[in-house]
Amino acid sequence: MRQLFLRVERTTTFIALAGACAMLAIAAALGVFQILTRFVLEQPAEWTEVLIRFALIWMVFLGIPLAFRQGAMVSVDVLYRWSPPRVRRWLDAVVALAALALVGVIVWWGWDYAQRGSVQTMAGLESLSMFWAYLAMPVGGLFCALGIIGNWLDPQRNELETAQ
Amino acid sequence: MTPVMISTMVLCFALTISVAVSIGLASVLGIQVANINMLISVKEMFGAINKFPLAAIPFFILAGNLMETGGISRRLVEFAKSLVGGVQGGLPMTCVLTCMIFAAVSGSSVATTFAIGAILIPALIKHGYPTSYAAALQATSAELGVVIPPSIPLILYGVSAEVSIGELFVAGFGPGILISGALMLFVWLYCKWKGWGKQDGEGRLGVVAATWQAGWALLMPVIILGGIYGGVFTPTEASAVAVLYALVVGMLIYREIGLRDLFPILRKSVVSSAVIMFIIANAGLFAFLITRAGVPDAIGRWLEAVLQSPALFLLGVNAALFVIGMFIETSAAIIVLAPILAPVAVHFGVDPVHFGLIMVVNLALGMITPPFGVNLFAACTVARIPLDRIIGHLIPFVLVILACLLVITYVPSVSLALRDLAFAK
Amino acid sequence: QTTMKISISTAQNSHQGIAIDTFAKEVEKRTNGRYKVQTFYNGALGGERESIEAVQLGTQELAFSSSGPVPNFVPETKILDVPFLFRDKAHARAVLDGPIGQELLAKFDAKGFKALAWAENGFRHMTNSKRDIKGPEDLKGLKMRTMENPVHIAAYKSFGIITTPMAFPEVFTALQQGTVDGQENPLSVIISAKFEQVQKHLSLTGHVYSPAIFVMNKAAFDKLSAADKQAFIDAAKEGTKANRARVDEDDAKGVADLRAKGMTVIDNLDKAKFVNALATANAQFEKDFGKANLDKIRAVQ
Ligand code: NA
Ligand code: NA
Repeated sequence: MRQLFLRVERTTTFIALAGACAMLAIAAALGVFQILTRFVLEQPAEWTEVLIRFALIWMVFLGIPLAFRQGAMVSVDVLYRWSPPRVRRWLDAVVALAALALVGVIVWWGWDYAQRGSVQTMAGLESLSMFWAYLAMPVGGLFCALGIIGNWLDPQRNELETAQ
Repeated sequence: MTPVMISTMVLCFALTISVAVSIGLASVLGIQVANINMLISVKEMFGAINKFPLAAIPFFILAGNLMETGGISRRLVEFAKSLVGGVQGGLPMTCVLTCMIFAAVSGSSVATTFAIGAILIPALIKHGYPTSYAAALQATSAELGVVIPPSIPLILYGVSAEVSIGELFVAGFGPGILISGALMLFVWLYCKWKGWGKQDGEGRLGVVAATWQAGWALLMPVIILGGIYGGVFTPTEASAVAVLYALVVGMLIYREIGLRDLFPILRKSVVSSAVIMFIIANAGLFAFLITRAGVPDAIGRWLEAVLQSPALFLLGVNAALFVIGMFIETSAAIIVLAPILAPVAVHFGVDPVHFGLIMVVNLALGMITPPFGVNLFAACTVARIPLDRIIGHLIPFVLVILACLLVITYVPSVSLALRDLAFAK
Repeated sequence: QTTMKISISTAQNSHQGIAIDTFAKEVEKRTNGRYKVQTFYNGALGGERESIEAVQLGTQELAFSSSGPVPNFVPETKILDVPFLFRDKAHARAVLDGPIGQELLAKFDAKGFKALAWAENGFRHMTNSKRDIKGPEDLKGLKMRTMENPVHIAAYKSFGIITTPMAFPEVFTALQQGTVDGQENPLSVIISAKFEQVQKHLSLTGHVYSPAIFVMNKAAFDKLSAADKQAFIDAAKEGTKANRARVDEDDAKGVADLRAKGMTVIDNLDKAKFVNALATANAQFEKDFGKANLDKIRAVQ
């Protein structure tokens, strides 16, 4: 069961990461394109800025699942370092539950927010509704939940990798 | 609501829950306690990162990683070492100097932390400096990003307090140079005292050889600065140009980046930027709730009522801003407080431009004071160490900036001499 | 006593600040203190789009905003963005206070808003660092920062302007370095953003009228008693009165102020020439919004 979950989780986290990488690459390319269209072609498009912003928001919410999975979030670790292994397991559970609680809010209310955003169009890209921007939160949140559980079943504390 | 939020956050921190989740959960609980619509949580998280100037953060992170893999960073560090690396503690001094130069390109401190930190934190660690010292040094030096123009906080102050942005920019140079000088002097003395960095100069190239080798790397700041001041792109867009330049030089000229390196570089950049932007999203929600509850406003009005003499006013403002800066992000604090405090400052005979520098330098200090310090989070992310480890080495740096802040506060000419010269007052 | 929140994105000491301050005072007075309106300035609760959205969602009861982001919520209001639609402020105010304006306010109901009253930001004018704009031909090739508004952009493009959307915090530096040549905004914004420091030429083109609006969450409004509903609407009307008086004052003082700060100000432009240059864009607008509707607005005296 644990192995099966971790296999599924590895796939979902990878999908999220691949999406996040694509978003970052697209945003950077659009940033260069925005300068080219304004300075060289003198025909700037009104949709580059809005697309860069929303691509990067998608990148954030698709990127944190891996950060949760690897335990790469910045934290204050004094208690953890001073604790014996048994207490550490408890702390791992507390950390996972706290993250799941926040992610739960993001998924539940994020989906509500996205639906309500569907009556609002994007400034600069009138053909799209804000639903597609807000959708980053519930979708990213679901990937996060899997990553958090994955980290709890198979803990990694990447943040401490190079600490001395 | 505010006490609930702050105590929840501290408790979460203590339980080793990550900074972003702690801040977010504390806010969610605050919303619950105050019986506000929970939709605010996701709305404000989204709003906090839905700002174009923030694009500079992921782009500079990506550029930094491309520079590192592509060999630009190595050559830049060689170059810097050839200049000042001969001294004991030459590498930390190089870090300050590089941040100072980079500050003239970047309007944000977090972007500066990532761009420079990606190069210099590993270099410092390689030269035997403690990781936490390298991170603290980097976080502190990057503050120069908002003191030396261009600067987003100075623009925000100018707009919200109705003060000339041009004058504020010119006035930023004095404090910027003061802080750079003080930091360089401090790291030099500190390294002598600790006996660190004796080998900083070992195996370094001569100036000519290092400059020659670093030619393409050195052209990068020239192109970026030239592009910004030549009106080709904005300071935010400059970060996208940095990505392109690092990619082209790394792949086509130095040929140190292959196609198969691209995914690992993107992956590393995504994780770093997602972590920091997720903290910004949660901190934005937290600050929104505190502002909505009228806390900064109340502090501002209280200051206005209690403080009587100009010297006392400035001392009180600095103390209050220091505390506010611990909890609230710089831009949010400026937008709320500048319109309240600047008129009082003028009433006490303080030049509003001078007061702007006091506010910005003080709140920039907030970027490295726990519990919320975006630079601190950024430096911890680059150095991959937990937040509490950085604090021991951070305290002396905070004291140095505080000393500079006092000088900037009580010696107006540090800010105003150049302004008076440039604007003939 | 019930406390409600209202926010603006500009300073308290502005045409928008006076609007919400007056509104807050009037609401309290007219409901005998049963309702209190807490005011927030400088975008402390978010920008204009964010605050309108907050009112729609009900996370905030009230907002006062320029009409900039409104078409993304209520597309019918887009018609007000058509350049050179209004002859002058008197004309614009007559349209918005008359049946056309009331009809548009009613369109907000279906989107979760109660629109209390129209107010204004004033006419938008153009500034730039290159040359005096005396006729439409002077606009050709100017890189101008504009809002991300499709109606504005279509019109400016047909003038030959290189329309450049850009985040507001970047505009000052971009104007200073010449990344863009110019921008267009009401005088109050030009003055408060200190664009005179980086722009030499101001033309009082008055090319677009920028309305503002008091919006309230529909559910919050529906909960009020009939008398209180009227009290809120009347308070908004008082807010509008104070707002328009302040815009008039700012317009009168603003030109002199900007001249004194070294800008060359071109006034009494021949607007007919600009309208003629817009012929193709206007044909499109007539198709999109209905010629009859545009003519109905133009015919208001
Ligand atoms: Na800077
Ligand atoms: Na802080």
